[in-house]
Amino acid sequence: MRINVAIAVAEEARGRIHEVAQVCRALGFAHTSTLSDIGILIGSAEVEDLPMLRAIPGVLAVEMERSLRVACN
Amino acid sequence: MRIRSMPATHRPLRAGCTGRNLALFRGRTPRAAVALLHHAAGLRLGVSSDFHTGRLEITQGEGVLFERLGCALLNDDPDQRRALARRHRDGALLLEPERYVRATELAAAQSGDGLPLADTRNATWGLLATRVLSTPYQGRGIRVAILDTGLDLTHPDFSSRTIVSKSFAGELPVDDRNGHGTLCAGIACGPQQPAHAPRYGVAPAADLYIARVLDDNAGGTDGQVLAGIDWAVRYRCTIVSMSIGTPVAVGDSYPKVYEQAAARALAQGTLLIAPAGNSSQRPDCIEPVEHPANCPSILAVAAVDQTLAVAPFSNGGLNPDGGDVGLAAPGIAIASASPRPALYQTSSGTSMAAPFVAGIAALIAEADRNARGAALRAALLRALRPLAAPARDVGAGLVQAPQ
Repeated sequence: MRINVAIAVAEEARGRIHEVAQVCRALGFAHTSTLSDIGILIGSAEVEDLPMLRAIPGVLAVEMERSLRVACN
Repeated sequence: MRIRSMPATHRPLRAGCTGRNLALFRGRTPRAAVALLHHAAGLRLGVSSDFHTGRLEITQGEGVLFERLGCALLNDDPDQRRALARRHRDGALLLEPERYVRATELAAAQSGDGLPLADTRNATWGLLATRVLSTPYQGRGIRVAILDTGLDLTHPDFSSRTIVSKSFAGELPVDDRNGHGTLCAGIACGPQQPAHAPRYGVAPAADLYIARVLDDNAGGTDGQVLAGIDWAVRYRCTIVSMSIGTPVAVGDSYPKVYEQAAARALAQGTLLIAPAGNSSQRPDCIEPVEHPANCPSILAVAAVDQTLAVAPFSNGGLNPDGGDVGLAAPGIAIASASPRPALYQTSSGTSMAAPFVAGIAALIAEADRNARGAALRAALLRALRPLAAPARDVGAGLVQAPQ
C-alpha cells in the first residue's frame, strides 16, 4: 500500500538534503517537495519500504501523513 | 515507611516541578503495577486505600499507588529514576514530573462589577480580558503568518492592508470560502477600527502572511501544513498561528517530524502556536492536547470563557514530553471577521484562543526586538494573569498584552 509520508532530515545532514532525497528516491520514495528551511521531504512510499527509508543515513524520522481539521467548536 | 530526603544537587528541578515523578500504567492491575515498579527500580509502594485508614501520608515512603486512577506518585532517587526511564522508553509505563498546581485564585467574575466579561460597543470581551485596549503596541513591523482556510482578501477590514499570501491547498485560491481563516486572521491582526463592528483584532499593524493549507471544508494534511510552516520561516515570520489539530490518545508521544520542523523554525526566530484541541466534555471527560500542539517546540493554547473558567471543550495537559498546555486565551463566543457578505461572525473553540496568543506575541515582539523564537515564547509565558484553574487545563495562565 502506498501512503503519503513526511521525512525529517537529521540536523547534521540538512546541508546535503538533496543528496538524502536522492537516496530516498532510489529506494522508492516518490518525492513531491523539499521544505529546505525546516529540513523536511514530502512525498509517498510503499508501507513495506518505510523501514528501509528510516535506515538511510541522514534520515531522522519518517512519518505517515495525517489529516488535520480546524479546532473550532 | 521511611521518608526519603534527597540532596538538592541530585534533583535538578524543572520550573514548576516538585522533584517527584508520576507514573501512569496502561492495562495493568494495581498488583501488577506495584510488581512492575518493584522489579524495575526496587520501589516499595503504599496503596491509596490506606489513606482512609490513616496509615499513609502522600509524602512518605517510596511512593503511593492510586489504585482507582492507574497511576502512582513516586519518591524515587536518581538511580531508580534512571531504571524507570528505561521502562518509560520501552513503553511499560509513562513517567512525568509532578508539578505544583497554582494556588493563586482570582474571583470568577472579571469585569469589576461582579459580572462575567461581555462585548462592549468598543471591543470584544477577549480584548478586555487580555488588556489589549490599553497596550501602546500594535504589532508594527512584525510578520504574523496564519495557516488556515485563507482570507477574504476583499473584506473591507483588510482592504488597506498589505497581505502576502500563498495557497498550499492544491488548486484552491487563497480567498476564504469557509470562514475559519478569516475569523482567525481577524482575531490576531484585525484592524484598530473595523468598518461595521467593535474592535476584535489584537495586532492591527502587524504584517499579515496568509498561507492557505486547508480546503473549503476546513480539512488538510500534514504535508500542506508543513509546507505552510516552511513558507512562513522562509519569509521570516516571527509568529505562525495554526488553528488546526487532530486527536491523540492518552500516552501518545509527539510526532518527530513536526517537532523537528517546529524546533528548526524556533531556532530561526519563528514561534509556532496551535490550539490544545476541542474534544473534551468537561467535567466528565478531558482529552489530551492534540497533534501538532503536543510538540515540545509548539506553544499549546487552551480556551477560557467570559468568567475566565476553562472552556468545557478545551483539552488538557495529560501526556508527557510536550503534551502540556502552555497558556490560555479567550475562546468562547469570540466575535471577529467573516467572509462577505456576512462580514462578521461569532465562534467558539481553542481555534479562537490560539490567534489571541499570536496577536499578543506580535505586540511583545514589537515591544522587545530581542523577543524572537524561544525568547518570545518565554516572554509570553512571563506576562500572564494567574487563573484559578489548574496548570493542566490553562498552563501558566491567561495571556496578557504588554503595557
